[in-house]
Amino acid sequence: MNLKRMIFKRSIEILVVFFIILTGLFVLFHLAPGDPVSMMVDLTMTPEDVDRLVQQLGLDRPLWTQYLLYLKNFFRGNFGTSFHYGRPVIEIISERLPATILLFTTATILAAMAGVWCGKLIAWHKGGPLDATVTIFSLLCSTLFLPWIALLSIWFFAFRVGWFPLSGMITPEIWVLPNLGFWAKATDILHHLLLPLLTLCIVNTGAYLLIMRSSMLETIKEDYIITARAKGLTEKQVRNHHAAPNAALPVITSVGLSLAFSVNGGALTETVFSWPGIGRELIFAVSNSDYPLAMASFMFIALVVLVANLIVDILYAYLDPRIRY
Amino acid sequence: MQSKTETGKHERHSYRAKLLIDAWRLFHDNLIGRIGVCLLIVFGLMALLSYIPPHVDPMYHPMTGVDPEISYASPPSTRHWLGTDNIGRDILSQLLTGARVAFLVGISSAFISIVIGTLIGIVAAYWGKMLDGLLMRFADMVMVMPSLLVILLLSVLFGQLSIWTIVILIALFRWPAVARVIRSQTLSLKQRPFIDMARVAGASHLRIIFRHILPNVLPMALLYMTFRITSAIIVEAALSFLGFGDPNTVSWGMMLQWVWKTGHMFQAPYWLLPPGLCISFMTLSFYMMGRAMEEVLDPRLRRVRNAKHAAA
Amino acid sequence: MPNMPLLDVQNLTIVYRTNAGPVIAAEDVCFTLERGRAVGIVGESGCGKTTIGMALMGLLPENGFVQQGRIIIEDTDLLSLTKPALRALRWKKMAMIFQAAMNALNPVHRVGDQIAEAIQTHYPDYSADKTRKEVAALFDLVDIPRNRIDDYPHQYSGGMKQRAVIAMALSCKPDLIIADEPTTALDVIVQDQILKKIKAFQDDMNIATIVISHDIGVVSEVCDNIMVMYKGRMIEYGKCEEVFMSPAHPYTVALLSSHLSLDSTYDFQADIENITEAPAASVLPGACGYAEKCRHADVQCFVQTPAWRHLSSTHRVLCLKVVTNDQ
Ligand SMILES: Nc1ncnc2c1ncn2[C@@H]1O[C@H](COP(=O)(O)OP(=O)(O)O)[C@@H](O)[C@H]1O
Ligand code: SF4
Ligand SMILES: [Mg+2]
Repeated sequence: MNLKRMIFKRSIEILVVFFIILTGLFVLFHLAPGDPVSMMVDLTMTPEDVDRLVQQLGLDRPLWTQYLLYLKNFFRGNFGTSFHYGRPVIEIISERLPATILLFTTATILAAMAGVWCGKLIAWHKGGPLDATVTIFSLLCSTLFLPWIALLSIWFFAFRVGWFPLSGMITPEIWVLPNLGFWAKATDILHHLLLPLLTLCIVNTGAYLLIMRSSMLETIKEDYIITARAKGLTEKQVRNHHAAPNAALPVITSVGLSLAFSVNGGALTETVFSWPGIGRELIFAVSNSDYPLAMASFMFIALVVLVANLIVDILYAYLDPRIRY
Repeated sequence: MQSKTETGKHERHSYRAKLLIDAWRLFHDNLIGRIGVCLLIVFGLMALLSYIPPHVDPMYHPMTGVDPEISYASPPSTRHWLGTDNIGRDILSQLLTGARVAFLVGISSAFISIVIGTLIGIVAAYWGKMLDGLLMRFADMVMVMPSLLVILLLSVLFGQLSIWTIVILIALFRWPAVARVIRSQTLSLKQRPFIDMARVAGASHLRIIFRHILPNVLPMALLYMTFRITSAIIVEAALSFLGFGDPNTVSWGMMLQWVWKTGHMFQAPYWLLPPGLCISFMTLSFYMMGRAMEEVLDPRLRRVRNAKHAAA
Repeated sequence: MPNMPLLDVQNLTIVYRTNAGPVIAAEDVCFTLERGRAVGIVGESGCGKTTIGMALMGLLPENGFVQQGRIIIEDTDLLSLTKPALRALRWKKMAMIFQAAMNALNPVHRVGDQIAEAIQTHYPDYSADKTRKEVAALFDLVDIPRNRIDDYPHQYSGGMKQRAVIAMALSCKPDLIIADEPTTALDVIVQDQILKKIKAFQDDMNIATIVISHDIGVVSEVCDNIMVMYKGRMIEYGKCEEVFMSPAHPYTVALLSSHLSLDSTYDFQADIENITEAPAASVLPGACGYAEKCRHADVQCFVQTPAWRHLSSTHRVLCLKVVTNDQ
């Protein structure tokens, strides 16, 4: 089947791209002013520690050996020790990654679905007052400055109204309670999740909605829509069963194209909401010149984007038989 | 012979002029475009006015001016129309300067990125084959890079970035979309007879590119410039918001960072609201202008669209 | 009522609202059609053929409306129906094979499902199994192998798509089928097959057919009657042999002499040009619409609107210069 071939091909491509990114990071690291040893070495380290690190990274060996060691260390999950936390970077990453994936995937999926759904309805009432209002409103939303709207929503929904917690992902006081059930934990996380999610959705939905709307307006001029009408289907059937599945395809493409952009937004959101994700960790590490943590966080973010890209491609192929068969 | 080419040139010029007038008329009829232009004029005025406050009184200097009598965040007053920040600097004058910086960052970065994108797009389409494949793959790769985070990473490796470095870095991450569009335009131009004719007449590659292709793809490049401006402004604002902006200038993102980092976001809405509003509305206005231009610049699309509709 | 025609179109006038003002796409069109018979509508592109077909389906685009006239199928007046009532009639009473059959199938649904959908809309009590059997039978009918039922449109060749569209049109056993340029995009051999199929169904199932084409050759192969149109007006109507053998209108003569065909390949561009020129509205009032191009035109043609003249009980023509027996 063609789909499997496509997935295989795209996976290889992604591996190559990731490899190039890894190499690029290595090059950048060595291009940077300053001695690589001092960049990887923390003030608190003992001389033995430093020696071991220099050995491990091959910092005293030729550049290409260092490069091979660098790749080897990456695939072994050995990213060094974070200066700030004093713990292995891989531990920190594996703690942070799930939080990011939770926020990022729910936000992307929700925004895309809401955009498709609203865009579909709006396009069907083209030219009316509702259409004009929603279009202008979505334009507005999609250009809102994300950190600002995040601050505003914290100020309003968390601070003034008090519906949501101010920040974080869990309430520590609840989590220390013994034999706390799964559902209690899940509800607590959900409670923390809602506000960042809402913020991301406000900004992303607008863009998807606009794409869906114009895609829908193009699609309803297609001949198969006239066929569907001629068959005696109701307007709702024509819209939902014939127009929408075709019109949604460009939205999926644009979800894929804007993944990198969404990751930027995700990192900002995590930072403002103190959501313990990998994007916040990267920004934090950068502020503290915590090189090992910053580099590793970036690698994993790149990996998340690439994998998400692959998933979007597969979804597209799944929804468009012209690619699948 | 001489006069013939002259008239040809003349005709082409008047034809272009007519196109411009048509485009302007369409643009003028477009509500979204009009709103965009009005907003931009407001921001342009803000940028111009930003030179005034420091001359009125040094305490209105956006960076160094501190009101000697105020050393806390104060709400709007007659002395400070939009209030002051926590060390007594005037918010209005910071806001005006922010407009200048946003224009500077947005336009220069967008300009660089469309130059890169247009060149790469034309080269890829014109020479095709291997080079095309390679360049487009490269474009795809750059496109999936989260630009903000890469720039952050660069700033940890290379230290504090100046505003011009930031401008160039943003441009380096924002050309792929331009390159793709220009490439497909060039590809379709290549099919047109006048390119063949020029080639048969012995025109060099460079001449074909600069005389025949570039003028035709330029409008599209310009359209993309408005969208690039939007994204450049956002990336710069986000960088400054996170504390990695150029510390020698004040920008709207930086103002937001100060509100946030000094913990004034709950107490001082007069400080929190203006910079965010400005960033959002400025990007909105460029975006609106871009959308309006898109409609004006794509007459082919428009015609086919109508035709399809009519044939239905 | 055995003598009552299935379809009776009276004085149909259709207007499009455009930015440049109203465009009359069809004017004063009258004809009737009995069961099992076929009428062909011929004319150059832009003369209003598709518009008439769409009006018969009640599917005019938003900016188009019937300004005048009546469309009566059996004993229902189409124009007076409510939307749901019209929906119930569509496909069951009248079905259409669309001009651009290549795009008439939805790319994201299986061909078989798209046909089944039509059946299930009009026969909601059919089980999934029964519907499936019907679809299979339809595929047999139009000579598409059954194992292609679950394929997607892009996996079909042009001819297969066209046949699938015909199968779809037949799926609810309509009384009337409107075939709009059914063969235009196909190569000659496939064209011939498709025409034969249409002819066969018309005879076997007693279906009334309207065949629309810019190619008088196509129409003459399958139709009993021919209607020639020019700029939105019928200009000649008669039995196929009459029109073909003794064309009376100068335009029909020109049509027939130009290789029996106007243009060998359908030109979408021409349609676009026509739209911008709005030809239908350009008819001078009080003159023959064809006068500017007519070889036989004289002063009279520019000042007098022609009226119908009958050459026989079945053959009529809209031209001032035609000499008839009864004059
Ligand atoms: N939706 C529409 N809006 C405006 N004018 C239309 C529309 N559809 C068709 N027309 C005009 O009506 C005339 C007849 O079109 P059509 O019925 O498609 O012609 P044909 O099928 O004979 O080629 C053409 O001149 C065309 O310009
Ligand atoms: S009426 Fe005159 S102009 Fe019109 S078709 Fe007859 S001869 Fe020609
Ligand atoms: Mg037609």
